[in-house]
Amino acid sequence: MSSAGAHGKTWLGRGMDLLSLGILFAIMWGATYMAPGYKGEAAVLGALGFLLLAGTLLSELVEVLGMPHLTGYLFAGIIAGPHVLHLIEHESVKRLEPVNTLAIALIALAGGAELRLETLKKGLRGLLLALGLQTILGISLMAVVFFLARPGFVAGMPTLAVVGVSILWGVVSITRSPSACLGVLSQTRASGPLARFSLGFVMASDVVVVVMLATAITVARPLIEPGSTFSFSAFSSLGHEILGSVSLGTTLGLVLAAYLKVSGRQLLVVLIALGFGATEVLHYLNYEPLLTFMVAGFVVQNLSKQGDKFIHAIEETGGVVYVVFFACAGAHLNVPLLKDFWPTALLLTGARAAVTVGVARLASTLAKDDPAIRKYGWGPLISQAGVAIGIASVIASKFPSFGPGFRDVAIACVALNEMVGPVLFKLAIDRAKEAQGPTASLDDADEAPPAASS
Amino acid sequence: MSAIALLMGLLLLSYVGSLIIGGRTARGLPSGVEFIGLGFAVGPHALGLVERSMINEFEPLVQVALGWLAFVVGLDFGRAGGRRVRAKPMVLGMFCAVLTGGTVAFAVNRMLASYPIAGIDASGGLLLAAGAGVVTAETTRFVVQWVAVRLKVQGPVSDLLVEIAAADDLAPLVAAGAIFAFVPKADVSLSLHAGGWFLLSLSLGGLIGTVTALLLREAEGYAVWGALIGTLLLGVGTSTRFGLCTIFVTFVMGIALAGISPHRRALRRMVSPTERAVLYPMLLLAGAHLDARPLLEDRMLVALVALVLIGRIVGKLLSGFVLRAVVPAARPAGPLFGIVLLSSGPVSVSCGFVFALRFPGRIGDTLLVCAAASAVLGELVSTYALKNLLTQLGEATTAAPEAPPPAPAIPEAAAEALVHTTSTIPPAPTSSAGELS
Repeated sequence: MSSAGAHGKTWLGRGMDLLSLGILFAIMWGATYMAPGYKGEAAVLGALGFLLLAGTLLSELVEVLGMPHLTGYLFAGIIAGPHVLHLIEHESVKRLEPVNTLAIALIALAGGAELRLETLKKGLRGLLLALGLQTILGISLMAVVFFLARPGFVAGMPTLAVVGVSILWGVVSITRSPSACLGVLSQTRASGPLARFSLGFVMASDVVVVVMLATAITVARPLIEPGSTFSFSAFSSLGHEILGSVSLGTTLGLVLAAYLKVSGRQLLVVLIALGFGATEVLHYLNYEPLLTFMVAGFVVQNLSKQGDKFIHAIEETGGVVYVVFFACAGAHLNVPLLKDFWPTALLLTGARAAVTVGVARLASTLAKDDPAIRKYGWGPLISQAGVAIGIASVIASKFPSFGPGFRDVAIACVALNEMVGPVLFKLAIDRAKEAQGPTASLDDADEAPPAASS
Repeated sequence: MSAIALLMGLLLLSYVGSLIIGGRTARGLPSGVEFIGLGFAVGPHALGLVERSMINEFEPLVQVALGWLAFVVGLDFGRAGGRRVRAKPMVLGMFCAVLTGGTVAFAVNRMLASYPIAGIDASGGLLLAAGAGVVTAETTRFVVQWVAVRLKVQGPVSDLLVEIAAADDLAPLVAAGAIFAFVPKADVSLSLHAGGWFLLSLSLGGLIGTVTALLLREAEGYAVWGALIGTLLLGVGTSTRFGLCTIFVTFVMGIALAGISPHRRALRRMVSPTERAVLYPMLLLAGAHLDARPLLEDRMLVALVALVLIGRIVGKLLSGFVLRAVVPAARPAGPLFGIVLLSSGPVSVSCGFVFALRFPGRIGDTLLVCAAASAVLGELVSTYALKNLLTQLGEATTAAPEAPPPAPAIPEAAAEALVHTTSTIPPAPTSSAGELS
């Protein structure tokens, strides 16, 4: 996710990238077809390396088209993945899931650390209004669209049951992608009202979605399964999860702040240990890792003076992890499913985009937001990724009667939003003129006088 | 112990390893053999805190660590203390490694011809003999550094040793690559003779090194680390898939990158601080992997390990004679000069480890034991012998060396390498003689 554009990459440079990409595909192709059926650990290592490199190179190439880098990462995964060229087997992609664990921890930590209390306070009214309207109107309108569209998997269900499923679909529709938002912000180094609004909205919406899911399941269950009773039991575990996550996140944040102040060395190792070790503990305690890490990042930024140092360390570590994370997401992307469900997916995705844009404009007008937010505030809200799929999977496991069909359509919709959303967000950031300069390169490090001894 | 607990332990070790790069007091032993001992103690054959299955789970991590270490060696190959190694010490270093490795391999081969060991056939015997030569050939680059941390070292003999130790890594790594080429994997559809497999290893390393150089042309920020890690993983993954020697492939990759990339200086600055951080977890896992049972079950294997050690001593003594004959400055060192070359370290253990992973069973286990035993022998004999020798020659004085600047943390090192306004190779953590890693 380097900002090559600002460094002025020449056409020769792009040609070299293309050549490197060709060599990489050739090596991977050779390894796959000369040692066919190989399922060992080496396949995972090779896949990891390939996704990292191909993702980086494709991100540079799609930049010519004005696309964000993460679209390049996604394409690398899609092309090499188990549904297109088969260079990376499904099993290898599954075994790369620990990378996702680390990536999610880093994304949440970075997201929390980017939320500064002072700037949040300034745009709080607009943010709350946008969150409220996107949640209420988003769920309601998308439920209506779903009810009217009636995809194949609800055919034959009673009307009340379809209403219940529609409410659940409404919740899936209001999920956003913190990773895509942070990915684009990280690449563009955006700074301004739109960037601040995007981050605040996307991070907060994650908590809102968890609450809305519990509410929707509670409301929808009696409609879908007439024999079942109305129960608030889901809220009991939700309260435990949210309060526990916030408490632990605060503690973790304070510990991190103390460490940064006292030592602050080897943050790479500390972040990796946190990503794997703390996530394992959080799963054991049934807490929400995303929320916990987000709170931890928020605490480091706002209750200590270590925020900038912390963000820098996460950027250093996260850059590499994000490439693999999005490339894996691309490889995971069920292209055949999208082929099967494209008319429904297109309809639901289009409707969601229209609802999101409309509600965003309404909210920002009511809140008298900054012009950039009024014009492009919808930008970060189109992308969907892991959270949506996670919620669809939860619904699928809770309602086995229609769950698989529901999940398949959700995955097809997410596939579209995942590809289109980041492009639109990058466009919004560019139009709002909030993108910043690039990072230092090896050339900069080499610009100094040559070593005397060499 | 769960896999996560073991991972946390390894990360802790990595943390410690990277912290002590710049320290003066807590550097550990030159070979890092204490971490092998720790690994053995917690491993399945001693306390049993870490089970065999768990170690197997960590095999990919080990392969990557081994690959990274060989890559770092390749990137800095032919250089010592920030300078190019002179042609004469370079040739001598390689010759000494070949002489020692050859002596050991010959001795083992003769022993196996006279006294065959149950379970090891003729081809296995050749593999064992050649592998024994590989794991005993080098002198660790860290030994002079170890002395330099404690004493102020300067002089022709210490310079010679630094250069010899920097140059002799080539022989065992190339030999390992060649040996693996003779034993291709059965499940690969490609059919080549040994020379073909060796060329494939060489080409793969060269090609991936070239791609890395291309990727790093205009790379920025973490994309530099991304390119390095990505190409390394691809190299390790592909070579393991074909049954090639990972450390040879990544070593060649490092040499190719250093040869092609105009950013080699900045890259060395970035990569050097990671060496210890990767080394300690790898040594711990090597120790945990160490299985002495075959030796306990068959005394002939104990004899073989003893022979390997004796062969190494003889080989290094012969190397000492050669050095004294060719380099006048080394003559005052006396007839036992070769003893100071006995220290072995990461390269030997890495070679032993790749053999243990690729040829599990009696051959692989025995070779890893040989590598560990060789490291212990070096610690017992060579390190203090070197200290005494350099003191006697007047090249080491007890005056405390100048306090080195603390080594940067890994990400800090990267950042520093990227934004530094001067590209002069920074002083290594210790003194001039210690500028090896």
